[in-house]
Amino acid sequence: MTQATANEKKITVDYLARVEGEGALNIVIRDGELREVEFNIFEPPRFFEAFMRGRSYTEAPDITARICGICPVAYQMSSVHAMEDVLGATVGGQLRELRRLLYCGEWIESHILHVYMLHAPDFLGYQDAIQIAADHPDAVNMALALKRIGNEIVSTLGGREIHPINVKVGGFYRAPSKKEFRPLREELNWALEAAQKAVVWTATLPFPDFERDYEFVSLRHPDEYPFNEGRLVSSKGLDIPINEYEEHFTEEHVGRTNALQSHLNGRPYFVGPLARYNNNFDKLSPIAQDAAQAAGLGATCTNPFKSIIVRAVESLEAVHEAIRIIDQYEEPDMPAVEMEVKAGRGYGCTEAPRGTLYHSYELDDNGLIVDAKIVPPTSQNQRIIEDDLREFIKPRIDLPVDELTLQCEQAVRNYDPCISCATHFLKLNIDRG
Amino acid sequence: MEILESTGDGAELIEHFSRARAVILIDAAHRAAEVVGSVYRVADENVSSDSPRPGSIHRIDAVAGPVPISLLSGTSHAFGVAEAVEVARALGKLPERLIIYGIEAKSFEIGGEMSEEVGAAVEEVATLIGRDWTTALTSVAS
Repeated sequence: MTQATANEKKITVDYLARVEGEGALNIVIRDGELREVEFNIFEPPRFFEAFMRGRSYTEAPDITARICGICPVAYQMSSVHAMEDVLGATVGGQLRELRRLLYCGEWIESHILHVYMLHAPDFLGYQDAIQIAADHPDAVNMALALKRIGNEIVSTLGGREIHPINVKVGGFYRAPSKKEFRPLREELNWALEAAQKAVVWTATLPFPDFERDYEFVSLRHPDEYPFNEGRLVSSKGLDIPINEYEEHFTEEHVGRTNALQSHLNGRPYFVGPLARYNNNFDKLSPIAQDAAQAAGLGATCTNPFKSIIVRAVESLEAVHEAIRIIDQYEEPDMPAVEMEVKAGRGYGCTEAPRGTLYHSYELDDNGLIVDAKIVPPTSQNQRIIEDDLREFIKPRIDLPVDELTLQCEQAVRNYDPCISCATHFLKLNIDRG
Repeated sequence: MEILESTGDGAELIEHFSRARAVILIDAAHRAAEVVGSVYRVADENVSSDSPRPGSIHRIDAVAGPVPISLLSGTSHAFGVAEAVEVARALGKLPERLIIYGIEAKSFEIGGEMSEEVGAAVEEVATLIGRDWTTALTSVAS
């Protein structure tokens, strides 16, 4: 379409609904051409980094857990691993298994909430979760019950459903007895079936035809689908120990809004379930691999909209892993490993529901925090989300404003962005004259 | 009676609603452009309707009608209080009585302290809750 004069259209949405926190998206379409796409929803958790200076290393798990309302376990796990790295401690055996179990709970609750209540409405043309509940009550009830089991894993082991209070550097304050897991173990049988149904259900959703050549970044471990340990790898050849993160990954301010974007040796990259899946399909349990393949996924997948299926697959994997861990569980002699305080620098990188979460700390001789650096998954994905939108909008540039807005929101939600630590209120603007 | 502190996770709230006969929910609220429910106090009667009114108290009977998303969706959880109430309604999981108090906040800044206006509103809401509780006990006793 051509116009004699410069013609800008503006689409404004005051907040980006159905992502954690609030969001901002600026799109300028002028004279029928896409001129600008600026996605900036994320402020790094600088308040928390500063707040932790001078505090004891023991406080890091509890302080950082408050950065994210829906993935506190991830923050606790990255922080305890980083502190143990500084202090030269290894947490293995049943304590290691319990940490994986805790993460299983968080993945299930986070993924299932996102799949059914935040993302699926987009695919089905609904405004919100309310409409999906009205039209698909059975599916929503199943999802809420499955999510609740994820919460229960976290509360049984973590001592509280949302911000676990049982996690400490070295392990736990108290290890549960085998008996405490019995009610949960019963429910996990149902959860396994429910998670399988979730994979089947997500596969029936209508998917836009959209594929890109991504660089997927995640942990990779020789023996397991990754949660807490492994090397950092990419689908384009990166393979480094996590303590080399800052040599390859940098954050830069870009654009008018001074957004912070993460790059891998200058390139954009992608973290999260789809990245983990692409890098670690061979480490999924047979039940999860079979479900993924029956859902039409190959060992690799480059359509970000299909991340909704992958979240269901990871939920299934998490239920399966939770069952394995509980079935082999024997109460450890000690709930935690002893720590010897010393100065140094350490690194932790674990797989939050939304992707790799990096923590680095420097401690002094008394175990007090001198410096802290936290890079959440959503801040790492800001650049790739913006790039996706640029490609996504081009063939859809003539769509009516409302329709384009909804589809852009759906595209952003592919990344399940978690922006609860956004420190300012931002707007969605599509500037189309 | 149970007193629970919730992070506002919508799914958790639906679970609580489905297990209770009467629920009183108190939450921080965004400035509402329009009056919602019964407004017990507007902090400063002389300010214009566009100005923030920290400490204003909104009391909503959530069983009687839909909860306005604009008032209570300012949590850090996308699936928050208002959505949880409406999803619970769609699933037939609302309790017999659900009263929501929204106290308009002065600031949502991380690391900030509770303002005087909100502090005063909290005292007032406590009194209102006492009255609600008595009513709830009477009406669900049958």
